Amino acid sequence: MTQPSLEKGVNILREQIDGPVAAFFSSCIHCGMCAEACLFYTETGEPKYTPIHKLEPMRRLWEREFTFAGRIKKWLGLDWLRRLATKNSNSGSLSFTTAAPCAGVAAWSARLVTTLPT
Amino acid sequence: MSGAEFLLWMRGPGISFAALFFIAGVVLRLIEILMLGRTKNLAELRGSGSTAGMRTIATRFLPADANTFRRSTPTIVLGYLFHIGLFVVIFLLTPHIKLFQSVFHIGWPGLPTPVVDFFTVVALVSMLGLLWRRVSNRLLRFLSTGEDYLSWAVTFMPLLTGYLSYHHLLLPYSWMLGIHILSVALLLVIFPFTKLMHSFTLFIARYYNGAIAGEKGVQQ
Repeated sequence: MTQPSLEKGVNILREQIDGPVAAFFSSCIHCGMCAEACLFYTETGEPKYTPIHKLEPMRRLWEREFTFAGRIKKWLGLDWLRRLATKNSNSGSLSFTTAAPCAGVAAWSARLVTTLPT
Repeated sequence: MSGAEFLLWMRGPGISFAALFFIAGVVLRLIEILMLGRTKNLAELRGSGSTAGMRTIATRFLPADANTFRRSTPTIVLGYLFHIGLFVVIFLLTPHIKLFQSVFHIGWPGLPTPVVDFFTVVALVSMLGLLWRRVSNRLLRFLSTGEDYLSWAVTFMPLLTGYLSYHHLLLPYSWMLGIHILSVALLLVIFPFTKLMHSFTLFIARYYNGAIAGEKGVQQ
């Protein structure tokens, strides 16, 4: 096994981003219904297991590289992709199940979080 | 500046600039999403993606299945009430239809104003309920960002100021109506770069969601 690196993790996330991913992120209104449908949240009652929260690193990557507004933010130095790692390194991001349809994506975001330098 | 002057400026250049910004922003955001296309699906197709996609666009307007409804009752009930109220207020109030008619040259019949007034109250109260949930529920408070509260505020203000101007409350009518249009201008400017974009992107998201499932032969 090669060593995990930030670059590798970001690349893995970047490869996953396409039209559907962009449409889903653009349509998310933070209603919390994905958590109420997720066994990790329903079993623990821990908000950090919310599926969309686990995808936050991927959402930020999409925002800063695939949206006009995000690129402006990045240019102004207002993007927080790295900073998230500190906030999140202790979060529920590692908890996912490969039985869930979202696992393919959630798993990668989880791996990214653990490889981000603090 | 008098109330009449303020109103005149808002209904003229003010709202026009906001509307142009809104259209440009929404088009930009939609192009950004659609240009990405889809990553190549290497699996054998087990059904028509486009048929399932179109069907999902329609079926997701209806209430969710019983399990989902039981899990997320307040979100679903308040969400429907708010959106129905907002739809009626925007598209079925006669002065609003007159505005659409002057811009797009198509009109449709409106509802009696007292009925729209009732729906305004429904939308306002359900929005307050949703905000209350956002701040009091541990999960929602955790998920919420500044953008969520900003989106709430810029949606709430046009409803509130519209209600106040119709009932001639608080301020002279021309001032209140001017502020109402100002609040709509603010909504339009903020719209393309916040989650308010879901009003447009939900159709793309539903299509892709249905299409991805349909290609896998998932029964929906």
